[in-house]
Amino acid sequence: MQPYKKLEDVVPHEENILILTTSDTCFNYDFSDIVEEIREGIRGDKLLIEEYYHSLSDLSNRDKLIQNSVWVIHWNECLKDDQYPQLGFYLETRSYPNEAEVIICVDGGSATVSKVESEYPHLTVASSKEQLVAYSRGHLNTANPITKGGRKKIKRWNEEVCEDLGVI
Amino acid sequence: MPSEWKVLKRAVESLDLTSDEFEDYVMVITDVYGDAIASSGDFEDFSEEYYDFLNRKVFPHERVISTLREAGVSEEDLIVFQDGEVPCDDLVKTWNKIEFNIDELVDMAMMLKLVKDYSFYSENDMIESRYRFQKLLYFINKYLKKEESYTISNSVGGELGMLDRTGYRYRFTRRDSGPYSNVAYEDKNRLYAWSLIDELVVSEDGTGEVAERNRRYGIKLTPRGEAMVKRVYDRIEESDSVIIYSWNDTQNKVVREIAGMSHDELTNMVKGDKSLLRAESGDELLVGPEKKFQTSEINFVEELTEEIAHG
Repeated sequence: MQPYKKLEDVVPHEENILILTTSDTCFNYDFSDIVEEIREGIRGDKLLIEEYYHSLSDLSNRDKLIQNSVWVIHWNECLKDDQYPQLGFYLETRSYPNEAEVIICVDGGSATVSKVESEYPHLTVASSKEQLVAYSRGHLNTANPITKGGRKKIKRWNEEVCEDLGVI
Repeated sequence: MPSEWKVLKRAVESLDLTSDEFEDYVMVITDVYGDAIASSGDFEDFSEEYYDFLNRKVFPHERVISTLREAGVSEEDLIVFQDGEVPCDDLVKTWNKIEFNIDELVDMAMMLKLVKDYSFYSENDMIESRYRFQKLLYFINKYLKKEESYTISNSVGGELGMLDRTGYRYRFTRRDSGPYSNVAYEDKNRLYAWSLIDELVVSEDGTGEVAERNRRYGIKLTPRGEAMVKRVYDRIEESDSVIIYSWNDTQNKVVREIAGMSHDELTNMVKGDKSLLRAESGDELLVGPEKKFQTSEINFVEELTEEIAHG
């Protein structure tokens, strides 16, 4: 990742949606289809969205993880039984950029959803494909370079990550 | 604060919608929001200007009102949306209050106090670098580890000493620059984002610290940070709690010891740390206590949560 020196450098901006899953599906939909639906709701043509599947065996590579501003985590596959303690540690200690949006997808009943929400009160919990799409669009249209506020937000996020990576 | 858009969903959390109604609402409002951003999202900051935009262009939108009306929301509640009077600022403050647990809040309060106390002894009225900031935190926890914890009832002490009960919750690993904690770095960034501390470029020479390789950043309190510390300072200094007293006392000792050191002297102190000498890059050096306090143990919780909420 390279730092944006000026506000104008932010346009266009490429963004990866980080997906942490073992099955590549969630809520009975392929993640690829879900990302396509998210992409269709992004306004303007200055924000390019790609999906990025990070290997769960490489979670110690935090430098790679923090370069993505949206994290989508399949709770049932990754957190429910503490399958990946390193991931749980990142969430517990908030070891992701301030400006990132972490969305935990819970495939389960309302009691399970409430339990996960109380366990991660600072994160966003989606209990359906529709919610996941809506929340992702909410974040990405906020950090969208079509507005000056969005460009400033993206630049701030880029600076934070570049500082963490040690490239500025 | 990040995730400002979440005020869209928080606006209906008190309306008692069913999960299906809530889902309909979030789908509609995020769609309306996207359109409004594209057509008239001319705000530059994400506080009052942004909330004003939401109350003009998003909450009163006919699709939003119609969705809420179909969900059976009362006319009394609907009028708040129709008139664009959703109290966004209060919703965010309330959320911030519950977003941070007591241990995180106390860490951030002690971190602000560290900046204030260190600045008093420093010639430059600031912590001179991010490197020094990280090492101060590390040595405070390290010294707590050396303190016996017999003062705590029902505690037999152990190899963690007082660090078993108090100190920063951070986990330090070995980096090229020595002990470093990602979480401490993130907490520092939060204080910056809330305008409680400022970071100034003080030199074009880096320190080798993470995020400080090419430039050096001094850390000082902003006037707002000063005002916040003032409100909790004496409560910490005069705390009856043994675990707060011990932490604060150790922190003050480390501040006095390190404030007079040059960068080279501090670097030598770090290099001489025995844990560091034994560790490989990436190895864990020191882990702070995970859970420290009950709300009832801290008598300035109310002030603290109020201040953070205003962040």
